[in-house]
Amino acid sequence: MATPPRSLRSWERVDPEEFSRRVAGKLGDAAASVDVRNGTIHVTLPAGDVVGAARVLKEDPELDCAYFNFLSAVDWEAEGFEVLVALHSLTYGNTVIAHVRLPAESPSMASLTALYGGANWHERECAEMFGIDFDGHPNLVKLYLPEDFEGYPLRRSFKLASRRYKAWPGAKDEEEAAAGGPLR
Amino acid sequence: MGTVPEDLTRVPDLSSTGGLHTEEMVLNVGPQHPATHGVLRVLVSVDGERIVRAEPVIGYMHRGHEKLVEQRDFRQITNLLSRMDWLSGINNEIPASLAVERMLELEVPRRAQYLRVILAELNRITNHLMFTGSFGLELGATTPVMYAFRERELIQEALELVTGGRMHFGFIRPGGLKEDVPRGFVELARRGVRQLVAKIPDYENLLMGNEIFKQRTVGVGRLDPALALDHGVSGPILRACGIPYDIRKVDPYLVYDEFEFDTPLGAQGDSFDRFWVLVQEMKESARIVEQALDGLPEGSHIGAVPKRLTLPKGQIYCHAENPLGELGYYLVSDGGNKPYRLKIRTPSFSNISVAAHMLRGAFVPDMIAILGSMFFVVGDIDR
Repeated sequence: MATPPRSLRSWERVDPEEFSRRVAGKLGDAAASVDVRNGTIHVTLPAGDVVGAARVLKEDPELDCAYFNFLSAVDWEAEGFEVLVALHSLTYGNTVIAHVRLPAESPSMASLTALYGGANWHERECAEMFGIDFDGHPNLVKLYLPEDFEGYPLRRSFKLASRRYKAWPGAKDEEEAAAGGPLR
Repeated sequence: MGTVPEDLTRVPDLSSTGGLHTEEMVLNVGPQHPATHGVLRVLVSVDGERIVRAEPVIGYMHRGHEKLVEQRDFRQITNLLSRMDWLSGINNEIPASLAVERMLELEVPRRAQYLRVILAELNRITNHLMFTGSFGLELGATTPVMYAFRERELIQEALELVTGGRMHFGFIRPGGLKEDVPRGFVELARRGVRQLVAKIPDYENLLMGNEIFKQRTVGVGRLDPALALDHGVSGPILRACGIPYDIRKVDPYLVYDEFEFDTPLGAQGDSFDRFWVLVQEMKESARIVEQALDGLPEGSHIGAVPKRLTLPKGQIYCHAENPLGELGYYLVSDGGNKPYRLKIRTPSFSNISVAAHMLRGAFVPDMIAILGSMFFVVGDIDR
């Protein structure tokens, strides 16, 4: 452990467009789409292919996405959930964000903890906040919330407690007033 | 005083340790503990003086920032985000404004960009000085914190002169800054960083030249680089492992690519290296501040920003080098004037998630040296 591997000591930023072509080539059919927006590479993955694709991203020396950045989700209500997995390649200086669509009813995907130890806390947070199940997680208990907390706070349907009992009094602009005032 | 029960006066027979009963003990550190900088709790299983398992328990300061920002518009969220890592408000605010600016393709005047860099680096220095002092304090050295706060005060004054606040600045706005800097700021900031640079050798001699300090930190809490990457560790802690990941260099934002500065790297990834990197980074920040003050352009402090900030539909990831590591905002907009979703990726969260691995096998007193050199803010872990 004395000195880090050579590849970690130097980096060069590969052009994101070029890196995205490399990602698309390596992932092949596993990726539904690969595109570059604002210098970040976005990959859409089917829920079943997440672990396999992440393994390629991490272990292929030409991708080398060994840096686990974050995992989270977006609640699209009736359209289900969108899980985000952000990985980074230090060697090639690019961030790859994987988007995984899950159904609104009992959303579940395979855990990445065996591949990235850092996914442990992120998946626990995502599970308690959105109610997403991570299959194969060693310890999917609540991270921030008390054990007996009910509900999933970051779902759009979960209203702030203070607003549930007392509506926000004033509209801030005309559009909100026209729509009957804000729900804040 | 009553009589002492007989079994307490009995001296145990230790002639043969074979019959001695030993068992693992669970030690509950925190949530109220001086070395946890807030309310972090660590459940430690010890076998004698040796830590067998350690599990950080977080959430005592969870305020739900990610939910709260969904109810507020893009100008209002600045003031919430400023409160996550309360030691570096300016640095928390910058990437949020960058996300809005990049989505709207807003032009930020060069003066505003320079001033953002100056304020961010001054804030980085005040953050690092806080940890310089507190780390010594945790290891039993009470003098360095006095020195660190003496230098910190001058820079804090410069920040106060500009923003009117000492912690929660709320000064970075989409498009630029709230106000231009007042007269006297340039001189005050320059005086602050010059005094700091002149005094840094004192800290180095006082702490890093001290034999007791070395014995407490050298080789203690080594972080394996591969483990660090696996957990998304960033900032001075990652660089202490010798990995040159500094977003100001790797993915330059604002005008960082116009300044000359180095990325100090450690070699061993131990507590000493982490502290060493922290102190060296202050010198680099001071270099950046001097260059930016020299080249500070004239002009407006804020660009043309629409009165109503409505973002187009879309998603963007914006990250910046917070003093403690990578701070990233993943902003999802549904076309309204509030974020549909804002994922906040804070450095302390990822950095402290690796602590369980680092504490395993360490001695109990080393726990303080390890946690103290992880440089975390609980508000930044819990959000």
